[in-house]
Amino acid sequence: MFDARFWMPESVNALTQGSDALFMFILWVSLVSTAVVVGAMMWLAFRYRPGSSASRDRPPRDHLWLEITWTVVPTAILGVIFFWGARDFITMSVPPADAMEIRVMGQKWFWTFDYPEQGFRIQATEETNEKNAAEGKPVGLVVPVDTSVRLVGSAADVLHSVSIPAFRLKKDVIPNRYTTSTFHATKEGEYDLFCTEYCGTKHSNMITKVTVLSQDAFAAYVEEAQEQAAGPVDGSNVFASSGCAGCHAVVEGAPAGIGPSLYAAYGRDEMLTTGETVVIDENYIRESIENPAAKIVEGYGPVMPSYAGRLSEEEMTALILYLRDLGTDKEAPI
Amino acid sequence: MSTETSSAPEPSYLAASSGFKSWFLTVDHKRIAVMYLVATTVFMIAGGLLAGMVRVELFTAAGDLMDADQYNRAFTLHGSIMVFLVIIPAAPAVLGNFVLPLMLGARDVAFPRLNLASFHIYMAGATLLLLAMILGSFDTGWTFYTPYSSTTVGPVAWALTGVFVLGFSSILTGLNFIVTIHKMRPPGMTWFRLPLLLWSLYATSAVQILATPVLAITVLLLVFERMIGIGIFDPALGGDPILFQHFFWFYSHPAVYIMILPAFGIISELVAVHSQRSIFGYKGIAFSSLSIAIVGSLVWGHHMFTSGQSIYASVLFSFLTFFVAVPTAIKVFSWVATMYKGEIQFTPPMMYVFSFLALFMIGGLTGVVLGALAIDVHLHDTYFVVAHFHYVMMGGAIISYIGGLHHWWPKIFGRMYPQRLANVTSFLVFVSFNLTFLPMFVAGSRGMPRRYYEYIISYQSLNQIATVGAITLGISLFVTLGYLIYGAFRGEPAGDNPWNGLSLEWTTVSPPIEHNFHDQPTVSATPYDYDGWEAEENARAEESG
Repeated sequence: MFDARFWMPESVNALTQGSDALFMFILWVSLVSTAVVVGAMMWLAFRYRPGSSASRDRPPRDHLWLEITWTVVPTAILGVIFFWGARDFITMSVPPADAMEIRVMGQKWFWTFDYPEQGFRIQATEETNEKNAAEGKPVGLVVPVDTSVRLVGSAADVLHSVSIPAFRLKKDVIPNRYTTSTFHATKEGEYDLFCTEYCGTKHSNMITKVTVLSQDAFAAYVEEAQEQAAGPVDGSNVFASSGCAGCHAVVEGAPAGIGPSLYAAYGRDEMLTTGETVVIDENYIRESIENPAAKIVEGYGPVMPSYAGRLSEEEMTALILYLRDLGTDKEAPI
Repeated sequence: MSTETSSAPEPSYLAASSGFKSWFLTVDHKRIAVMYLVATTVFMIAGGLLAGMVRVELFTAAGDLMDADQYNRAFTLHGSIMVFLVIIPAAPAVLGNFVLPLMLGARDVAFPRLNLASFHIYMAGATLLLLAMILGSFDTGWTFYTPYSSTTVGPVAWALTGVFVLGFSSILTGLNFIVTIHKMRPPGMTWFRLPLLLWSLYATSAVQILATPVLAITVLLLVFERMIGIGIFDPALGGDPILFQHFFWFYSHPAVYIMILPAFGIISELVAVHSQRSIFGYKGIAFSSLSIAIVGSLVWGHHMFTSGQSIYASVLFSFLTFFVAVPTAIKVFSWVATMYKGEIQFTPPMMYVFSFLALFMIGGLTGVVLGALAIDVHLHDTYFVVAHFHYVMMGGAIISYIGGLHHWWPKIFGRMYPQRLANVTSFLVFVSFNLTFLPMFVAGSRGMPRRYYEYIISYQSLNQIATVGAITLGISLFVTLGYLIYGAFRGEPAGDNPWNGLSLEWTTVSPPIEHNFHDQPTVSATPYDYDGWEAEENARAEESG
C-alpha cells in the first residue's frame, strides 16, 4: 500500500503524471496524522486510566501556542495540497494546441466515437465490443500512442460520464452542451472505459475499452475504417452498432427486453398504449426510430431516445430492410 | 450536584400519562424525542436492510439475486431513507429534542406545539417517501440528477414531494432550537457557558433554516417539470441539468454539515464527561462549529469538478473546500487534548468516542484527497467516494449518534443497558465497519464506478471482503439495538447521574419529570468545570467587580 501501483492502475497519460505523486503525498500526510492522533488518543487513554498514578494537577483548559500550531500547520499543508492539485488539474484540463479531435457521444447504453478529421465513426455497444474482441480487432475508442487527443463530449439522452482510470480522466457528457477533456497516451495497450454517471438500467454495462495503437497501426486502422465507411451499408451492422440490441431482441423466443422484440415483427398488428392498433410496416419502423414516443407498444415505457438525424438515409434504409427480413427466410446472419 | 432523588413523588414523563393520544398529541419535547427515536430507528433498519441487499448482490461481479432495475431501486431507497429519514433528523430531532431544553434547565423548547408539528410533518414526508416505494419505487439515486429524474418512469414525484415536506420539519426544528437557545438560557448561562452540544445544534439549525428552502424549491421545480412539463432542468424542454446540480448541492453539501455538526457536539460532551475533566479549547470548538457552518455553505461546487463547470470555478471551490478542513482539524486535536490529565472512563460512550475519532480521521482525510482537484477527477463517482462519505456519515454521524444514545439512554429511560456487552459490541461495530468500507477505497482508486449493478471481475475480491464486513456490521448493530431495548425496559435503574456529568440534564431525575425541573436551575461555570477552578474564578471576579 506504500506504492502507487497498489492503489491505481499504471498511469499512461502524459498529462496526468503528477497526480499519483500527489495522491501518495496526501496518503503519507494522512497516515502520519492518523498515527499521531490515534496514537496520542491510545497513549492518553492508557496513561490516564482510572487508578493510574499519573498527575492530574490543574488540567489545562486551553494553550494558545499549541492551538495556533495546530491551526497553522494543517493550513500550510492543505495550502500545498490545494496548489498542487489545482496546478495539475489545469495541466490535465487544457488540451494541447495540436491535439487530434475525437467526438464522444454517450447514449443509453453505448458510446459513439466520431473522428471528424479522419471521417469515420466507431460505435461501442456491448455487441460490437464482443465482436471486435472475438475477431482480434481493436475494441472501443481507438487512439494512436504519443498523440494528444481532445475529446469533445455530448449526450443524446441523460447525463453520462467518460471515465478512463488508466488516464486518470473523467468528464461528464451532457445533452445540452459540449464538455472537453484531453489526454496523451504514452503506452500501447487496452484500457477500461466506464460510464460513471448513473444512467439507468444498463449503466454498469455501458463500458468499453480504449485501445492505444502504435502510430503505424493506427494509420492502417484508419484506412480500413475509411474503406468500410465508403462500402455498402449492412443493416445488421447498423443494428449492432447503434445500441438497438441493448433493448430489442432479434431472435425467436428471447425474453422481453426493455423494448419489444423485433423478431418476425414486420407485418404484425401491434397494440399501442393508446388502445389503437398499428400494422408494423416500413413507415411505422421509421417513425419509431426517429420519433419513438409517438406510438408506444402496449406494456412498454417511453424510454427510447430519438435517432432522428443520427442515421444517414442509407443506414436507415439498410436498418429497416434488416428488421423487415427478421424471422423470414431472407434473414441476414448477425 | 443532584438536588432531586429518584424517589421524587412526581411521576416521570414516561409515566405521567398513557394511551395513544397522550403520545400522538403530546407537546412534551421528551416524548416527541422518543417518538422520533422509534421512527428513525425503524427507518434505519429499513435502510440498513436495503444496504444489505445491495452488498449481497455485489458479492459476485455478475448480477444474480436481483435484476438491474431492482438493484437501482435498492440503492436509491437506501440512500434516500438514510439521508432524509435517518441521518438528517436523527441527532437533532432525537438527542437534540430530548437534551436541549434539559441542558438549558428549561421546561420545554420555545415552541412546544411547533415541535409536535415538526414531528407530524416528518411522519407525513416519510409516508410520502414510503408511498413512492410501495407505488413501484424510483430509481434516480438519492441525488435525483436531471434529466434522468425528469424522464425516468416511476413515482419520482411522490418521493420528491416527500423530500419537500420533510424539509419543513427540518426548518421548523431548526427555528425552534435557535429561539430556545437565545431566549431560554437559565440565569448565569452566558454564551460561553453553553454546553458545546448546543453550540453545534445552533450552527446546525442555522444551516437547516438557510439551506433547506433551496432544496424545497429545487424539488418542487422538478415535480413541476415532471407533472406539467415546464422546462427547468431537462434539456429536451429547454432546461439546464447543471443548474439542477448547483441547486441540489447548494443544499446537499451544507446538509452534510447538518448531519455532522451535531456529531461534533455529541463528541464534545462525551469526551469531557467520560474523561472527567474540562473540555480543552472551548472557544476553539465553539467557533469552529460556526465557521464550518459558514464556509461549508460555500463549497457545493466540489461535487461538480467533472460536470463541465468552468475550471476556474472548480479551482475556487477546491480552495474553499480546504478551509473547511482546518476548523475540523482543530476540533479533533482539542478532543484528544481533552483526555490529557483526565480520568478516562472506559464506558460504552467513551468507546464510541474512540471509534469516532479513528473513523472520522479516515473520513476527513480522504475528504482532503477528494478536495485536491487533479485527484478528484480520477476518484469522482467511484467507490472511493462511497467509502469516504460512509466514513463521514456513518463512521462520523451515526457512530457518534449511537455513542450519544449510550450516553443519554439512562437519562431518557432511567435504566442502564448491559455495559460490558455494549463495550464488546462497540468494538465489533468498529472492526466490521472498517472491514466493510476500507476495501471500497481500494476498489474506487482502482477505478470501480459507484452505482454499478455488475462490475468487472478484478474488483470482486475487494467487494467480497466488503460484503462479509457489512453482514457482520449489520449483526453487531442488531445486537446493539437488542441490548438497548432490553436496557430501556429491563435494565438496572441507572440513577440520576451515572456518568458524573455536570450539565444540567444530570441534575434532574432519570427519567425526568414532565416539567423537567422542580426549581429553576442556575449556572456559574461551563458544564465542564470538573475541578471547580472556573466557578472559583468567576466568584472571585464577581466579588472584585
